[in-house]
Amino acid sequence: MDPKKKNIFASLITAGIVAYWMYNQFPIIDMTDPIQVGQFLLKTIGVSVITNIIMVIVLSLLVGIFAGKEEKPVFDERDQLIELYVMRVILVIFSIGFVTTLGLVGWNNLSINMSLVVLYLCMYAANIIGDLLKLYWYR
Amino acid sequence: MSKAKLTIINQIRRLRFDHNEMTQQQLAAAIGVSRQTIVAVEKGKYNPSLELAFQIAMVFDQPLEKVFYVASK
Repeated sequence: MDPKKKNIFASLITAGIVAYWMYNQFPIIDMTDPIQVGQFLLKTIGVSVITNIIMVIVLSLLVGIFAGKEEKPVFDERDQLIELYVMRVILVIFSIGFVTTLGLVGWNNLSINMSLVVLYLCMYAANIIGDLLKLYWYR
Repeated sequence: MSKAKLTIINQIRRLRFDHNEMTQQQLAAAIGVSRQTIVAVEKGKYNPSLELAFQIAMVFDQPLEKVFYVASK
């Protein structure tokens, strides 16, 4: 298996696990308390980083066991181009989310605490779309 | 000047065959790119940079225009 595809799959599985973790945490957290919201977002970032590392290791082991020798990772000009396109798409999606959140704060009385969560979710969604695009371009 | 998109055709597949049936992996290793990049270039899905195009031509010991050329209209 191509190591790049392996990393994308690891990232997508991580996104799924983090979504499940967030879903379970939402009812526990008092969204009116900025300290709890801040801690929740920080914990979510920590969980996603650790889960991603674990998923990369697990997938590497699985690929090693079932697919034999893994290809040597090479990062060339095409990868740089794909990375650039994906970053551009992520930035556009996040910018739309940022402006929408500002609009909701300004005109729909969205609290600052919730706006932080919405911004995080925008970044989260943008990353998933970026990974799916990478998967499409590497098909 | 016309801004029509050019269709660039390459002879990499044939040249690989002529060079002792060189594999895509061998060509990729010779120029330091991934096999997927060679696949994409061969299929015409990706136009390589000038530097990469010259490197490919040098592997086959051919001038650039023998490896890449513009399709006639």
